Amino acid sequence: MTTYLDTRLKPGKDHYLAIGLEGSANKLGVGIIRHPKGELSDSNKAVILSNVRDTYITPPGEGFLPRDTARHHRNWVVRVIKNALKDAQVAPSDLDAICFTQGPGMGAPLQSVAVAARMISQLWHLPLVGVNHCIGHIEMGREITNAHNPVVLYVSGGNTQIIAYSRQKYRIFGETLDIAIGNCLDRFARTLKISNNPSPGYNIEQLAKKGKNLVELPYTVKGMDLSMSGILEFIDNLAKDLFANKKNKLLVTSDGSKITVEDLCFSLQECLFAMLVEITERAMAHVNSNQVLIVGGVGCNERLQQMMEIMVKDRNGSIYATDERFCIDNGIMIAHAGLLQYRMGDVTDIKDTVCTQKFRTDEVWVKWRLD
Amino acid sequence: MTTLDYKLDLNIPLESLQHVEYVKNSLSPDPVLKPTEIQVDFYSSKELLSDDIALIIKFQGQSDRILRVAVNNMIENLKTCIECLEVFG
Repeated sequence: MTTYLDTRLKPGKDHYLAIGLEGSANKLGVGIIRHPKGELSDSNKAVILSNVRDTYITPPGEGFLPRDTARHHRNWVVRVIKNALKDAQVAPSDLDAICFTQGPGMGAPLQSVAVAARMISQLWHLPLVGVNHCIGHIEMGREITNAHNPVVLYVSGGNTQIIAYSRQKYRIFGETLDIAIGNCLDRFARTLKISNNPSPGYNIEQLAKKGKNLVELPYTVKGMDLSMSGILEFIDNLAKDLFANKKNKLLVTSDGSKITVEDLCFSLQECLFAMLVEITERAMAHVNSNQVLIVGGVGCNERLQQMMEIMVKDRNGSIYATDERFCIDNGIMIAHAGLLQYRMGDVTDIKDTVCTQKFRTDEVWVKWRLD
Repeated sequence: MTTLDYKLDLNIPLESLQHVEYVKNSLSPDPVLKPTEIQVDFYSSKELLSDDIALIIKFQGQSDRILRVAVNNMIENLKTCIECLEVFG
């Protein structure tokens, strides 16, 4: 077996350790991962030593603003790093690299965490590795689920992309043309003024389980892309009519009963997820793959996983998803992807650690994959 | 062409010149968003031939408002740096 990933191994050691810092949105995450030497495989897997997260939760009806989110991250980042080291029972001197999210995401929160990464890199004399957030999700999903070459559906509060690997790049086959799916769900949760704890999407999912009547919403697949802002506007107006007791023929079912908030949540999920399933199926056909990996915060949604599974089963394929520890933004995925980069010789000079809000998945050269 | 008439200097005493370098290297990579409206320069006290051990940050802004925003933001980030020095230094 080739050991092309082992040029960086410290003398006398048989593994690598990396710490990952994530803060591109309202979750602050720090994780520590261990890679055994040699190529990672089903029998030579990465080991998660710690995965600590602290989420900035806003009151019902409010979203998280960049400045306040950055303040949250600054308040917590040192404590969360300390806890991650304690959980992993690792000393800074055992580490090989410090990985941090360089983008995409919200500018101020990204930068607040990057400052901490720069400080500990100098204090501990360790190299920095800037990581693309989307690549973190994809690589962590692959490592956890053992999906080797899946079509990746990346669905979160800030991103909606359908991705497939080809020639050392994760290529974007389709994406949202306006807002991300998680943003659409979160903003509807704000309209309904439901709790943001643990996350607005989770609470919509619970309400949707009680919904029975489907309200037809606009269905806006544009080729391989999606558009969701119009759907949000449409259902927001329906919700406002519902709360104001205004007459609207869409709010009455064929048997005369009234549409409820639960029905609206159910309808929104069904409509959005159907669109995702459609473009995912088309991407699978394009690249001749029968594996689907769902990553990102919305990937936790069991109804999405269930709908995707029905489609994938029809194609004799398999679906891979992770639970909330890895779906929702976390530090461990940044540590994992960063360590892969580090093992291929990538480090980021401190002068080049400026974060960028726009950093596309297909900009990253995936050196660690040779297929 | 507007002039940057509003000026403010921050003088942050630190334990060692090495710490001064660490903090300077952590804060200085991020560019200011509007270079025509605000300019920020970082110096270690050594560069300014001072006997103190300090980080000096010089701000020059187009208005007091812009200056205030930039200085506030810098102090916020500075707090993270100091906390890192305290806990991990």
